Amino acid sequence: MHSVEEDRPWTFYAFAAFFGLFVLFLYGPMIVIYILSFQGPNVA
Amino acid sequence: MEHPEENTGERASWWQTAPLVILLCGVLWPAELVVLAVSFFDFDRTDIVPAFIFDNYVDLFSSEVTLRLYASSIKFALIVWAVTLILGFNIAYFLVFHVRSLLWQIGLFLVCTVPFLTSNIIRMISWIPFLGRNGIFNQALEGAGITSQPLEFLLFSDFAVVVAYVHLFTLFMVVPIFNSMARIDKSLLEAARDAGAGRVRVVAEIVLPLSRTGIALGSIFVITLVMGDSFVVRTMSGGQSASVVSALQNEVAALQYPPAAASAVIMVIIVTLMVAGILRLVDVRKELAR
Repeated sequence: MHSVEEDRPWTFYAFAAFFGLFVLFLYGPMIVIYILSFQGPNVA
Repeated sequence: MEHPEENTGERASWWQTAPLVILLCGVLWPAELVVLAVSFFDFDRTDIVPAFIFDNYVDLFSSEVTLRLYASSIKFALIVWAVTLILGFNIAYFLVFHVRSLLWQIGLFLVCTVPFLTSNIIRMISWIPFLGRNGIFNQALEGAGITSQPLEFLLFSDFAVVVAYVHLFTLFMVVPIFNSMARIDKSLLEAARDAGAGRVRVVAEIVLPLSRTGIALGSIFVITLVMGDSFVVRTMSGGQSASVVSALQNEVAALQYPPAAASAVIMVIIVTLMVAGILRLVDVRKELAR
C-alpha cells in the first residue's frame, strides 16, 4: 500500500515556523526570568 | 400535561439558567446599581453626600482629559485587537488545517494554553528583565554588534504595553477561532480546491466567513479586556500612559467615589456598545446553534 500521506505544502513549513516563533514569544520571557532567578544579589 | 417531554425540557433549561441568573441579579446588578446611584452623589474634600446631581457627568464630559484617556484606551484596544486577530487566526489555521494528527493538534494546543495557567502578573513582569535598558534583548543586540547603545523604546513605552497585552490575551483569540474552524467540514475545502480555488481564495471565501463566530467572540474578549485594564498599562508604560480605568483608580485612591462611579458608568455603556456592535455584525447565537 502506498503511503496515504501526501507531501506537505510549503505553507505548512511557513506556518510551523510562525507557530514556533509564537511559542518562543510565549515562553521566552518566562524562561529568561526563570534563569535570572538563579542570579545572586551581587551580580555586577 | 399533553407534552410531558417538552415540559421537562423547558423546566430543565430554567434550572440550567438559574445559577447565572442568580449570579447576575444577586451580585452583578446590585453592584452596578450602587455604582449608578453613587455617580449622582455630591462630594467634597472630606465627605460623600447623597444627592441627585449631574455635576460628575458634566465634569466628565467637559474635561479634555476624558477624551484623551478614551483615545488612548481605544488606540491600545484596536492595535492589540488587530495583532491578536492576525496571530490567533494564523495559529488556529495552522493547528486545524495543517496539523494532521489529533494527538499533535491537542499537544500543540496545550503548548499554547499552558502559559495561560500561570499568573498574568508574573507573565507581564517577566517582560521587564527581557526588554529593559540592560535587559537580555538589548544585551543580545549589542553583543551581536547590531546596536551600539541600548534601545530605549523597548520598555516603559506604548510598545511594551502592546507586547504585554498581546502576550496576555492572544489565547482568548486562538481558542474561539480554533473552535469555529474545527467545525468546518474539511470536504468543503477539498471541493473548493477541486473547483480551482487557490489557497488564498479558500481562506478568504470559506475559512474566513465560516470562522467569523470565533473571530467575533475573540474580539469581544480582547477588546473588553484591554478596555478594562489599568494594571498592564501602568506597569509597562512606567506610568507614562494612562487608560480610562487607571484614571478611575486614581480617583478611587483619592476617595473621590462619585466621579469615579460616573466614569465607570460611561465606561460600561461604551464597552457594551462596542460588544453590541460586534454582535450586530455577527449573530453569534445563530451561528453556534448551527
